[in-house]
Amino acid sequence: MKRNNALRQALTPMEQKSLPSNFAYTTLRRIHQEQREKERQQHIVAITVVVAVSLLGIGLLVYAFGAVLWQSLAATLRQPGALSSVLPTLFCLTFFALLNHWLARRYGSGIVNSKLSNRK
Amino acid sequence: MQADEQQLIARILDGHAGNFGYFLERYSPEVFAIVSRLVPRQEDTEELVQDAFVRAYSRLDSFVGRSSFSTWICRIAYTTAVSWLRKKRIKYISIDEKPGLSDTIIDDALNDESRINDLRRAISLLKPEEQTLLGLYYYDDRPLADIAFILDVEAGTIATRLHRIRHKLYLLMKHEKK
Repeated sequence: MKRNNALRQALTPMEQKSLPSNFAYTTLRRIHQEQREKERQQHIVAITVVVAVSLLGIGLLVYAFGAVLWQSLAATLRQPGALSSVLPTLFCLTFFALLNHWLARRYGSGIVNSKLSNRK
Repeated sequence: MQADEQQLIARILDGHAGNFGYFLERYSPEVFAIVSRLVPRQEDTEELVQDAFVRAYSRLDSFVGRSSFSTWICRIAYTTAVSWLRKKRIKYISIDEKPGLSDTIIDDALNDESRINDLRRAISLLKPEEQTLLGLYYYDDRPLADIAFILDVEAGTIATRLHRIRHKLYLLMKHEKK
């Protein structure tokens, strides 16, 4: 069955075409770009899920225990000297939140750093 | 598949994407040959070959070594080209088989070197799957198991398919002559 010389000749390309010499480079560049885009999308999805779950949790808490929480908070604040313990806590929390933000901007998060070193 | 290639794949999956360059350099000519048989324009061919490699990269974790890497990437390239052609809605000629046509007449026609141009025209009228099957079998001399994997068909049906395609080629050549 494999004699078919004419058929073989007819299947031979009329002109010798080939890929450009920088094909591997451009394809690798595209792969990198698509990978980055995929990671960005995954990041956005992860953030959206975290925010949605947090909002849902807070919403459920408020729905179930909102009245009780509000009453106990009001009762605590009405006590003499209540603000003297609440204010330092608020100050500390704000300070740590700002410090965390600054450190993340300065050095990046651990996950991002490990991904970058892997890529290298 | 070579052990080196398996190691390279493991490294790529570990995050060293640059190692994929080896597969690009080594297998792009084969992939180009498969796609260019179906897609005439060089620019489209280059883009589809690139699409095939990008797809292969993103699915590299699903490559389990059931075939060689070459056969696996050729299958991806073939499906990429076929779905691209499907989007272009190209119509192919379907031709009624003529029962009782002797194999000797068909063999003679497909062996007649003075009719190569007729044959070329007839081949270009075949469906993508038929053109690829002819190319892989008669021009690339690929084993039947590889052809079956690339085209996603049973290896046992290839001989019948080839017989039918040869029949169709003969009828197309006759039809073109009229």
